[in-house]
Amino acid sequence: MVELSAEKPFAGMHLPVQMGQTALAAAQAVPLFLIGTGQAGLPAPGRGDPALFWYADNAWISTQGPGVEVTDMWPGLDLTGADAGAVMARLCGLDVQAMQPGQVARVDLAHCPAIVLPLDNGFHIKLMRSFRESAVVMILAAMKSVAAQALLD
Amino acid sequence: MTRLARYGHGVDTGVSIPFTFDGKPYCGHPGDTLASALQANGVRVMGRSFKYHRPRGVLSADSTEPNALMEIGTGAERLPNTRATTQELFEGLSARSQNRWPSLGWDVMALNDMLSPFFGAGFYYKTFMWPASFWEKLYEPLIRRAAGLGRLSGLPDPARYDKATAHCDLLVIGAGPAGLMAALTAGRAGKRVILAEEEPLVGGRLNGEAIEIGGHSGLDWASGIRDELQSLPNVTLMLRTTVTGAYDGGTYGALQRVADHVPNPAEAPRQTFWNIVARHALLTSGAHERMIAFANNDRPGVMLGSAVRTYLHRFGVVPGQRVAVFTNNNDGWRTARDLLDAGVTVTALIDTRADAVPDLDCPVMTGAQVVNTAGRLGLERLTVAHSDGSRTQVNANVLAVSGGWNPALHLGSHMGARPVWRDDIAAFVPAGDGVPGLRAAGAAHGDFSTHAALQNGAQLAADLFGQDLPDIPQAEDAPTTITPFWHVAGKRAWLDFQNDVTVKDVQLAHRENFRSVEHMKRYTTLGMATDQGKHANVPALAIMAELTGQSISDTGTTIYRPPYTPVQIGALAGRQKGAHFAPERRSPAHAVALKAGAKWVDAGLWKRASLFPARDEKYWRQTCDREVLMVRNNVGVCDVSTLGKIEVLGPDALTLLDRVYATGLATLAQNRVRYALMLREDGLVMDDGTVTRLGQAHYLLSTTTGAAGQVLSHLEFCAQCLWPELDVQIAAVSDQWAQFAIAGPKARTALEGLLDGAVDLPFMGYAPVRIGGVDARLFRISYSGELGYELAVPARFGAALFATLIKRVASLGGGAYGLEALNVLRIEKGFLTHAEIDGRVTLDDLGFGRMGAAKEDFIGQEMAHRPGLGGLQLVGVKPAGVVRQLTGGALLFDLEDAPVRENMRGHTTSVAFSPVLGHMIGLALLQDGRARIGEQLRMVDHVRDVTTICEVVSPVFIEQTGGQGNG
Repeated sequence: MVELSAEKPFAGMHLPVQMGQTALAAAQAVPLFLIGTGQAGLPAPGRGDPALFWYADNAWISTQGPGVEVTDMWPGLDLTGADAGAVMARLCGLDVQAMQPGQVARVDLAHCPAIVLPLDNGFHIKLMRSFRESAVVMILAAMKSVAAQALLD
Repeated sequence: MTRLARYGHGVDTGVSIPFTFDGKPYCGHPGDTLASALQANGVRVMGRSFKYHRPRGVLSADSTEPNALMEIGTGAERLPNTRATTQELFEGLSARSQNRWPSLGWDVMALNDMLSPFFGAGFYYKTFMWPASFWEKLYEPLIRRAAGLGRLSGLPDPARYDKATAHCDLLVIGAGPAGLMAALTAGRAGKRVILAEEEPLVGGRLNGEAIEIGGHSGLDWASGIRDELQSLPNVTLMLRTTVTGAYDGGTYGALQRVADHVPNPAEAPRQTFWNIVARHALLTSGAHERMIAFANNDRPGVMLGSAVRTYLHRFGVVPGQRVAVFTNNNDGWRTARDLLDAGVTVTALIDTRADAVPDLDCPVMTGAQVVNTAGRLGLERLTVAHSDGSRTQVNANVLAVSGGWNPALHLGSHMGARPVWRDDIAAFVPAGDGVPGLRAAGAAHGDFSTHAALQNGAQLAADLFGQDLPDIPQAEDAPTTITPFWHVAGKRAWLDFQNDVTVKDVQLAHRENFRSVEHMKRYTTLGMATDQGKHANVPALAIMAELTGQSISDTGTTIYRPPYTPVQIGALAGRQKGAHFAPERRSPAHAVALKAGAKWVDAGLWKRASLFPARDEKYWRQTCDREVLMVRNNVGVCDVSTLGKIEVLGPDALTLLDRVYATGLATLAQNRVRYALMLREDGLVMDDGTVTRLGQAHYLLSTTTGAAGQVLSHLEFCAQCLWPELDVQIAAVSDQWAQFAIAGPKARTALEGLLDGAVDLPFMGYAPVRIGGVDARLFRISYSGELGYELAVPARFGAALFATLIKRVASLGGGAYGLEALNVLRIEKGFLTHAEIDGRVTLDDLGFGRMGAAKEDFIGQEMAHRPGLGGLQLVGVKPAGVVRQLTGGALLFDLEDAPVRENMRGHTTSVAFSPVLGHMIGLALLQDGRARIGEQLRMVDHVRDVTTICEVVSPVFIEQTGGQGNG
């Protein structure tokens, strides 16, 4: 019988990494399902947490099925640390200072489709899979830039 | 040269910084600009003017500087047109003057000045015309060489730039007294404040004067406010940050100079370009002092009075031992007073107002005007004309001119509003509602006293946020007393220093009837240099107003546009350059293909493998032909993961899809696949793909790679806007699945043993399958015409599956194939891509005229019946004469017609060499194509210069292939 090995989405990208006051790490892999209405307690648009969040009109993503599986489509990263906001400012147009846990936003992150969920100490970022290499390169560049600027002062 | 003791609060004279200018070594201090350091070293000539190559010195002490433009740095980092007044000094800075040869002191091109009567405004409209043959060979190259100011290095810019976004409740533009009070008021109220300041220090005008606030030095006051602001977590102070433009929706562009003043920035970006989103904004950008135009007013040593005071107070430098002052308002007296306090000789104060009564301990001339200056390479003396007609020579090597103040209102007019003229201050002020959410305060608003700045800044911020007014410290509140005086009649008097435009040029424009300010601007080029005419515009339009007899208010200004100061293109590009210009999308099998030696092609943002050359293959056709024959004779594997995949579920899924597709879907049974076409509302074909019925109310759509986003948007529009009552769920899953085509006579053999279970699918069938326990999807569909399958697994298994498949087929004489071969195979079968579905064809054009005939209605059906729509029908073409070459996008003509546009009958869409048939084949769209099968045409490619006689044939070149057979 054939055995197919599963690839970790951020393998070979030298994660986790720390630069200055920010850290980037692959998030814990969890199954993800796209679910429609017909369930109680679904969050309002723009709201949710990594276990269950609003995704689009009539669509939510949950770590619990049943639903259309999208686990592979949205690999996740955690960007944490005191300068996480400054790094995000260089990647997307979100008002990251004002965002709180309990909110979710879909944005272009360095021009790559992403889902951003604030954490207490940073941001959980889901990247559309085929863009992930490009996005990680840009996230690391922004981290490096912020860390280098801190040294200038 | 030593600095004046007790002056120069902005420099640290204890530390020495070496730098070079035109190759000569000099020293300055931390806090110096290049301009202040050069002046401290006795350097007066800093450049040569654009047209006439006249020696020029520094005019100002800020970013409005028109004269002292330098090349900073060497090699790839060399940057032209950098203002010496804003370039901070750092160790090892290398600066060169511009626009002179061979040297600043002796410039050959100064000849232009002697020939100046021939180089007046608009001279190039009257010259360079005869003889006509000279234009391309002589005149144009000459003009190109002479044109432009500054030289680029021609090498790629090695610096890094960031782009970033910031949000705030209040953006304060300018950290002078007004801005500091506004930021403090809003900051103390807990609002999110961004205070942007162009200079490296706060204080604005306070840095260039001896002004007291609250009984203490204005500088101390400003430092205290700055310290408090920096202690507030909700306030961000952005120094060295110029707000460059005001745009829609309360957004502002701002350029932050992160490392322009740092010799070795390491990994830090040179600059960051910010998009600041502000609920409210305050323009507290101060005002720019005006020149007065008089004969030879461009001699080095003639400067703005406020600049002389700034060089004195902030930098401890007076650029000459004998200073004269020329003014039309009370502000000029401050220059004389400050210089006398510093022990500098003031040789004359010349006031245009006959009724002025300055109380100063120096020679005073009222009702007088400066009518000329003299001195080689710098001012040595000036000529003053008195109201009684007599003239005096005044000895001076610096002339401090004060012509009044222009509020720095540019941002307030960036959205098209024109500023408003006020006679009482002889200046324009910002239009009140020019930019929604932006208000002006202080000098930017035309309120020039320190008290007014403090008061207005605090008041506006307090009003915005419903706060009480904070205490306003005591400060001078002198009224503005100015008698407008724009120019002295006489010889050439400069208005636009950077573009070398004089009063005479404006008069010429008027004589030649270019009288509106917009015409005057283009005809004379006044205001079109890198300083955007900050010193030239107002005097010029005042002079034009005099000439036309209109009021200044009616004459008006030209349009203001961002950026306020020059911004490098690199800063606007940020990180998006070179390999990072756009993100790259990679299929799950990318790394495996890379290892297998794939050649790549861009398909939108995707990288797709186009060929898998064998080691001995040198030319792409060798690979492509081999891969095509491999699929037709054995088996090949192709990565088709990039195609769009959308699942549609719910009780109304079929209803939605049946309305969206022209193809009938009601009869699509579970576990069956159907080729389907969808139309745009205007009746033209939008995309083709497949619809698979996965379950009772569960469908899977495939789209072309390029149209995936468009189709998803279209479906969402239909579901959300057209028919929100439908109970349907749309799930885009393109990146969830890796998918591979396995095609060729041995395709089934290749799959046997791979899947858990037997492979037994009818043509256009679907089955859920398993591979090593992993849930997978198997489709029996073929884009090559051969026996073909597509196998999909969740993306994390894609790499492993592709590697496994390539290994399995290798043992059967097969291998991987890329887009080139995929394309040949499908052209041989007459299958479509967006080369044929180009947005201008109908179903009938493509040979699907009867599709959807049985359906009630679907998107595009109505409009598809418009007469005259489409008409270019899909056919095949093959070479029929001596020339065997076909090209894509070539035009088709009847044999007896001349190959000109009017005789076009159609065009080729896709061409390829068919290794099966041994000649080139092509698909084409041709008028009445189907009726012309068997006829001959002329194919002409005007771009590549290819002409081929062709025969029109069926688009299906190879009829018999194994795709639909039982197997």
